Amino acid sequence: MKTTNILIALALMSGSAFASNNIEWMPGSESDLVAGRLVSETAAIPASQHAESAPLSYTWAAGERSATEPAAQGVVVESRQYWVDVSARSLDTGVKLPISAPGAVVRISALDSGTRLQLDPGHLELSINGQSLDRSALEMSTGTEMRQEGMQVPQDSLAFRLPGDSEAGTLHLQMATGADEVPMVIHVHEPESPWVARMSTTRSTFLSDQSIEFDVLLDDGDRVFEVDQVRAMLVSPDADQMMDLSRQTNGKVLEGVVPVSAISAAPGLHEVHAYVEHNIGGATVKRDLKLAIGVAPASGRFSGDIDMLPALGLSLDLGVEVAIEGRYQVNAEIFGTNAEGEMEAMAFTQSAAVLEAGKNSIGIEIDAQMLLDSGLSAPFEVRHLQLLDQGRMFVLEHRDQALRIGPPARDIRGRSDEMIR
Amino acid sequence: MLRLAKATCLLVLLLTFGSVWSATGVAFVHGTGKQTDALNDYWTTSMVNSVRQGLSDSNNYVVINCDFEQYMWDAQAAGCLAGQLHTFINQRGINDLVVLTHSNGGNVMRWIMSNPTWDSRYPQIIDRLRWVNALAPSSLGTPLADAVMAGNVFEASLGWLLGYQNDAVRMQQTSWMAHYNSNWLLGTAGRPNLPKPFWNVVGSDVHAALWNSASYCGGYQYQVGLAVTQWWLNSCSDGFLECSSQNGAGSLWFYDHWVTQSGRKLSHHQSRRDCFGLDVILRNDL
Repeated sequence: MKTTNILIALALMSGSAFASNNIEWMPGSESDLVAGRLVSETAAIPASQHAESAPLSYTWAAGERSATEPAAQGVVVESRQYWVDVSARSLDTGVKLPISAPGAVVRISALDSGTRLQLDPGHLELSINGQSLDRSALEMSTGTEMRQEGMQVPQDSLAFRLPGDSEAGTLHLQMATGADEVPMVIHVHEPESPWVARMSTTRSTFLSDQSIEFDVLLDDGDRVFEVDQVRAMLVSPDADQMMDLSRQTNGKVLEGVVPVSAISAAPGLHEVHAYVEHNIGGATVKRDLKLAIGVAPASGRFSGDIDMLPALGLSLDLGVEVAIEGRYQVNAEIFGTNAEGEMEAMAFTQSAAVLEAGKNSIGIEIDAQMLLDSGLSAPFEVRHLQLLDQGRMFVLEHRDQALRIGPPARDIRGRSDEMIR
Repeated sequence: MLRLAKATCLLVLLLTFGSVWSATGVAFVHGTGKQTDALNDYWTTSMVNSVRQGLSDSNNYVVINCDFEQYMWDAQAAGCLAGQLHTFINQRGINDLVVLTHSNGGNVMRWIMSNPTWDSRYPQIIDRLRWVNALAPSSLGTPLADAVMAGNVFEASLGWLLGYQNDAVRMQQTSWMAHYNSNWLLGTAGRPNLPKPFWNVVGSDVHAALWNSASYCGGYQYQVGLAVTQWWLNSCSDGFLECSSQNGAGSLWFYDHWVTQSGRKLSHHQSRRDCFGLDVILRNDL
């Protein structure tokens, strides 16, 4: 203990600890999530579901796997599959499905549970481009079998895989179910197809009333296509709110906004559903895409105020401004400078507290022993700074690079102690 | 090698401070589902009894029973798990806890490790935790969840969006897990480390042939079904999860065939059973 104290004292004397340094906000990046102002319509914000009331903090050393670069915030999903809604009656008469490659996997299911349909493989009739397929040569699986393995398809399901040498073209699927207007869904998955649709966005979290953009493209492995038809919709977690996404004139970008009034009290994420159809050389390629995003009202943000408290290690009070009472969490990664002059992860720290509406603060702390053990020195940086609402599962703010703690440097943009927004 | 070095350090500490570091315990954390008797219905007694023989006090074990059909942060999921772990470590004086998770149980445990300020019981659990051995964790979700959660929002009622799926299935869709991994969970690529190690055991294939003895461990009928679910997965999968998801957070401990008897591969069903020496590997790790 005595040795430890001497080391800490030496660290302080050498000026390598935090106390002798300035602190300043760093320039933001495109992927940062920052509220310009807080919402005034707090009545639209759901009640907090938090159960814990005690303020808590927890910090641990970064370890050898920590990223030294900001985490990628962009999101991309891809698809080689599509779904078609049909009625049991239309299955009786037959349904045409575009197929772009051999070996497609097709699943027929009731859209709702408990329909007690009898999907008898013996009643399945298939042909591709007018050529009849021998169903006894197909691999098949029932809903019961798939559910037994944890694949939660409806009980009333039947899946089969087309042969590995089957043709691309039009699959005609006919099946007598004995039912009438029972809603059904057919899922076509083409794992061997070169045709892939992709939807991407800059990050996975957004604030209400902010414009949200998604790129949609289709490629066949060699060429990228601007697709003929795209329909897209943003669906709230409880499926109560559905918002159309408009297609911009450049053809590949979808755009929309979630108003505060559409923020859902239901837990879970918003989903973007996009339906892509493209015709090429007389053939049709269909793809469905789905991407989950978090949408939060601008109900909290870092105010820009920072207090560096007297301590042997790092002790910061971060100003937090919130529009509504709740339990708020701050995450931060602390980086320091190693012997080679490079930034290296030192610690991850998390604090949470129940806050009333208005201006508050949440403290983060790295003790002196952890600082000494890391062998890192100034300048330090706070990266991946997040403000989260625990009781509503909202991501309210995220900054890839947030704070710099060190001797004043001329090459740092922005002014000391001033929030850069 | 890293894992071996850590184990050696722990052994040295154990030998040096044996009287202080003596209470090792093991917890078995099930996957998706609402369990009331996970010992018999999920793990089997032969698996649990074999593994716990590696403890100096073989009574220092707990089999968790919670509702993992909920979102991972729900009081019935992470809250329930925290409650049972907290009670276990305090009642039995456990100060060296090894947690074995299977499938979605890894996500619930990772929630606790990633959000220690969510609940005042979490820090004590993390402090007592040596590491998590995550058997086939669904860290990046599964395309099977994507496949079953769908209809067309333009063409039909949206009953399918919420109707026949539970929240755990919704959560394990791949883009949902990408969101939670980027914002609420730690340990995936480019994200901060978890506070304690999270070691992955990856199952990489399903054998479902009548003539293959590997098809029978854990039940032949399960193997056949998992071979079918592989239709929706890539070539490296255990029939429910792709290998990339199983090794998507934390660190790789081993791929099944590296260490199992005769280099057998573990299906998703077999990675929670005493198949091909898995129980002995886990026992020797305690």
